Amino acid sequence: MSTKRSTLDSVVDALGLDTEDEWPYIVRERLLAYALLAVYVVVIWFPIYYILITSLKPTTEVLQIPVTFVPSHPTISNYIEIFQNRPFGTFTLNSLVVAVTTTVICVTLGTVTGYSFSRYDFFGNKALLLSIVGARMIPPIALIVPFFSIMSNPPLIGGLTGSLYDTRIALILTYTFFNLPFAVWIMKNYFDGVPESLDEQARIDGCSRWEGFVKIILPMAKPGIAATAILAFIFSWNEFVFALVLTSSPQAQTLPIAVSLFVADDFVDWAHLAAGGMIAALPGILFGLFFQRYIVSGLTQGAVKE
Amino acid sequence: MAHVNLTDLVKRFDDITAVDGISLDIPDESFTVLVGPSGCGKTTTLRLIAGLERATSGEIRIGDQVVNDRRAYERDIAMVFQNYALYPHKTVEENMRFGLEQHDTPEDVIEERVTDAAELLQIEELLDRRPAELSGGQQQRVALGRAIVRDPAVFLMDEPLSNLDAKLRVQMRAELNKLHETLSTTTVYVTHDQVEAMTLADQIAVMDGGEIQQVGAPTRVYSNPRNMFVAGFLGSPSMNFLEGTLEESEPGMLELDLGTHTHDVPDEFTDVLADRVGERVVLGIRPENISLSQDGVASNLHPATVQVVEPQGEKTVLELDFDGTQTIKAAVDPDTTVSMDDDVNLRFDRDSLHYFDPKTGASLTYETDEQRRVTA
Repeated sequence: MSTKRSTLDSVVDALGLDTEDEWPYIVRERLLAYALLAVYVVVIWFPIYYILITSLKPTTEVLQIPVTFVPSHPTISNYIEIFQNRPFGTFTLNSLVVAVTTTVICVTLGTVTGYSFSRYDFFGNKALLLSIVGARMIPPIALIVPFFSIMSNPPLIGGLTGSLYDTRIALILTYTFFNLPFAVWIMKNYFDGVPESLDEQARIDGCSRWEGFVKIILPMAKPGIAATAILAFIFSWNEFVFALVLTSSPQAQTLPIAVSLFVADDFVDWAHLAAGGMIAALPGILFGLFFQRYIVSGLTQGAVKE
Repeated sequence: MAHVNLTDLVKRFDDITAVDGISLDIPDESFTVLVGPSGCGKTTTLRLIAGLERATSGEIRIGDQVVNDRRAYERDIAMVFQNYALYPHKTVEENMRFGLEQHDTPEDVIEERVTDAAELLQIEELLDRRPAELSGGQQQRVALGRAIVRDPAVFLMDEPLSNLDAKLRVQMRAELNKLHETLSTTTVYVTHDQVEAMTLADQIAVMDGGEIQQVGAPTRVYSNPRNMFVAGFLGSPSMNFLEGTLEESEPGMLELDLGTHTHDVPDEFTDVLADRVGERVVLGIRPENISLSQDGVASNLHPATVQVVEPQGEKTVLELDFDGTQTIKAAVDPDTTVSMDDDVNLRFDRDSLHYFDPKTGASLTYETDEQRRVTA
């Protein structure tokens, strides 16, 4: 009894409860909440944990029954081998170039376009915004064939560039198409939340419109820009279906495709697939961990009137 | 320093005319307040002077220069916004320096001006803080400081006290007054708060419907309004209006038939009102110019019934049933002992009566009153 009591006391202390009268009910309530959260965390993190340990197992242990949840002989050989035996460096570079370029384009265009929609009241303003954001409402899968057709034989610049099929440019253009409306929408909302009197004060202080935007408004929009950048980057980094259709060789294929190549007709190379999967998943996890507060503040800006 | 002159200024937003041909002279070193209800065009006028809006037509002069085509920063003005518009990512000092740096002011001058302004406004210890770390009153001071360091020809202030609580507002009002006495910079101040307007201004411009209704010294505008709008807008509680028919009681004498009451028109107004005999006329009297009379038989007393008693500390406001159809308000001595349903006799101060045309709202006795005051 005394042991049980002291354990509960320590839980009470840990939860910051101070009166003896209230702890039994509150402890039960909080323990239930923490238990549910613990289950949720396990469900969310287990696949990542499982792919991590699989990537650190020798091939023989991967297929071993019963399954081991801690590698008996942890090794990074799978990581080394995928870079030695396959052009994983090229795949990673492709992913980086495509994701970074898409992000830079979306952030740059999204920011100036969002600012324009937020501040300038021009003819057709609302209709134009609706058409830009509305384009994103079309299910991407419905656009695969048109995109394949356009990239294979670009109607406007085909004469100059030839086919864009199996190039990074095809992926960058496609991902920009999907991400730019989001970027414009997020940034417009963000700028809507920045009082216009700040632009005006900047003008009175001696700034041109552009200077005021760059020197005053843009530094304030960092959370919005960060949110836009993270979303654009993660989308471009993770995207699979369009990369599968629009590319066919390592010169343009990205990591998600590279990872899928470990699945053969009659054999799945789980250990190397897991190592590739970890590399592919890493930026998303890191961004999620370190920048999620920007995503939240960037997406919710303007949602409530302060 | 500079005077500001607006001539036939018009600003239209599509079909809406926000400023409808106003002309106003704002003397050098004056503190001019544009006051009026929401949507009257006062803020638009200020923004036109600031260069934040382009005038549809008309002329804006600051000093001797027509500034219509000049950008905001070329007009030598500084503005204090209602929400202060402090740059949130910059410290107080950086906020104050920014405008000077944009104008390539030498570093030693910037240092000197920021230090002086911070000292004047007692914000020296706040210089390293960011706006989010300041209280509303402190933010207000910083916004003023940012305007002061520019040493502009004209200060433009757009309801700068409206976000402060009542006590702080009174305090800042006094400080703004002191500041203007110290700096003597021409100031154009926009507010919808008539108390602010009356206490701060040495010239007040009452606006409504995009037009200036009356300009003048606050006490003059208050005591001799040009029309029913100005009369009703200035003063709290606002002026009472009683409509009646003007009649000749005996040769050379006029009275206003208010239904159950008649009211003798003071002699000085008989000439100007003589040609309106038989017409409807509105009598205006401020609540503080109505007193309760103990003398039940004297002439020119108006019986009324107390409906509501509102003790307000320095005065007690009575809402009275005047004749069964009209109610009026009287501001009486707080020691007055009356209660609901009491029958009282009201005495109107005969030096404080105003007569208006009910159709146009224009004062019929404005000129006579002006002459009387000039003579006095």
